[in-house]
Amino acid sequence: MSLKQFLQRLLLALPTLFGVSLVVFFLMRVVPGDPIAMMTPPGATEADVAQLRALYGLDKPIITQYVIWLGALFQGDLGTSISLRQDVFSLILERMPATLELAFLSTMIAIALCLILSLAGAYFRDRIIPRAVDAIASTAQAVPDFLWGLIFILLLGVAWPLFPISGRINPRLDHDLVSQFYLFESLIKLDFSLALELLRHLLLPAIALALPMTGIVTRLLKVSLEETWKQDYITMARARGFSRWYILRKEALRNALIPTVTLGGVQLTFLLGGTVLIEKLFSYPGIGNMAIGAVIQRDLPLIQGLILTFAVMFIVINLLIDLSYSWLNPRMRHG
Amino acid sequence: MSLLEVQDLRVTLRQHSTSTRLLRDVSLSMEYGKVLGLVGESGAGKSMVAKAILDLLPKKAVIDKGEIKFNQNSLLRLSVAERRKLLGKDIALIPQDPMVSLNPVRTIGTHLSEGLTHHLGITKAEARKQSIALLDEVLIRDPERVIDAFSHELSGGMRQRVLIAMAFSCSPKLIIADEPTTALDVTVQKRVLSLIRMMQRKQNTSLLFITHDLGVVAKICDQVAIMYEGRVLENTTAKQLFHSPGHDYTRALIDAMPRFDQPDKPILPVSRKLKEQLQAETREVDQATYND
Ligand SMILES: Nc1ncnc2c1ncn2[C@@H]1O[C@H](COP(=O)(O)OP(=O)(O)O)[C@@H](O)[C@H]1O
Ligand SMILES: [Mg+2]
Repeated sequence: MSLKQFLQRLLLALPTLFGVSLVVFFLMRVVPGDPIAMMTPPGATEADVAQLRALYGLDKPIITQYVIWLGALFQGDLGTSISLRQDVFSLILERMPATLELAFLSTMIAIALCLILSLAGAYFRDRIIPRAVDAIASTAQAVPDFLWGLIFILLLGVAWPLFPISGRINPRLDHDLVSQFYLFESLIKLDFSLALELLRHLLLPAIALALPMTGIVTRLLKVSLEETWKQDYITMARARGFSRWYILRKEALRNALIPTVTLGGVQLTFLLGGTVLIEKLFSYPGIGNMAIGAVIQRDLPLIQGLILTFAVMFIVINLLIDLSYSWLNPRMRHG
Repeated sequence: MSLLEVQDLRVTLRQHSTSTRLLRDVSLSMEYGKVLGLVGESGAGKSMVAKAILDLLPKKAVIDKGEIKFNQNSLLRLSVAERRKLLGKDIALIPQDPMVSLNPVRTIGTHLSEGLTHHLGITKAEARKQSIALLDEVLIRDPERVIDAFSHELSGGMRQRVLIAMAFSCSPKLIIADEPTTALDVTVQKRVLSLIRMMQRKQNTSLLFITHDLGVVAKICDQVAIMYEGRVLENTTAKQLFHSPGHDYTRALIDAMPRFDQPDKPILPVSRKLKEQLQAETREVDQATYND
């Protein structure tokens, strides 16, 4: 992809974001549940309620509310959270690194597992290993991420307590982390014991998130590798004396990845969406967990801010997928 | 002394409960620096002979009998790794269809230099230099640009030149060219053929030239083997073939050739009667060898 195409894609993302903002705003106005009613104490008078409404701008006509909200949005102002009484933008900014670290680790685990499983499944020609790969992939795909999370909690957290099952870091632990990117920062500071402690918290939710994606992508990649193996250029490479493993890695893998990346991108957005339930399940302090709290509290500004955040992340993922697609496939690069 | 010796090679495809014979006691002999034409209609088993030599037989095909000797060594007794050492280095292939024989996601340069680094153990930089020289040798214009191109940027003829450069890159003793011009435009065929011939002469390589075109045989081959239904019907010299063909089928093939010197001569396809007779013979051979 050329720089021009890249910028075009970026520009195309703007109307998408605008559409998302529109839908989000009006959808939240029509769902039942009054946020003001939820935050007022039982003895409040009509006047108290009206005052609160005016404070949050909820007394104005809906179009006006949207224009005000959008205008503020352009200045990076997502409003004030009703339930947490803090600036939504800084709330999200503070929580987002936790989710990014979880999603990133999860994606890396999924990619590593996909490559190992599908390469093993395509490399070995006996009956056992390719079938074992199929069985593992089908199982991983058939169970949804939150169920994997539940299974891990019950097995590795409760029955055989090897891993902590809640939070991001041991709250009694003294640490001098300055950013919210705990894992990243600890690795940069070469503080491996802290990194290990963080990983112990991260591993179960990350694997739970990774497994369904691993299953479906592994299956496609393995079939794709087997199809690629029948191509004439593979036969040619075999006739030139290269080993099966070399050909699989150097000749077949990249070609086989081309049809796989598109599906991988879709799965990656599912993975990101999956953080909402997984973070709740593992009491992990990311924006997914925050989103559930916001919905329960009918915290409109926070919900809107979070949905927009997720939309931005989806757009970024799609952009990255497009980039990797044209990197993999030279026929896409020119023209 | 011969470079390649295929002796009584019998290959059978075993699928489920049926077995189909693909090669019926094929024998060939190739001398150093000579060109052997392997001629036959489509489905005769020509490519199967090439695959047997290159260790590319389909998974379900078994060699029941016979021997392939390369440089007095039995290829069939070598381990997979030992055979791979020969492939691409001492024995190379020019494939039938250049359009699909190059990896679409790898550059021309990668194709050429990976063979050089793998088989000759030279550095990547050195391999790149040699690759450019090779492209120049197969008469590709602007090799400095082509080396970084992908196959989809090249025409069919150019791709076949690249594949020829790949085949000759490690100065192999034997090159197997499996109908190397069939997939090309008629105008390009001649030039690619003469390039193969030129390179073969220059490196004094033995060439196993697979074709269904007797006209090409007349032009470049020293020896000829005629195949039909997995059998070699006749092993002879190219001169002998046209002056005194030894087999009815060979004679029929010669009659089926278009002749530029006699444009009025009718082109007679091989008669059905002759084919039926040959097929009956094949069945007899199969029955007689069923239990060997
Ligand atoms: N991979 C394969 N599996 C099974 N049968 C095959 C395979 N490849 C070729 N054959 C069969 O083997 C016979 C010889 O094929 P081939 O050597 O490709 O013929 P030619 O190259 O002379 O046209 C044909 O009857 C063909 O159907
Ligand atoms: Mg063939």
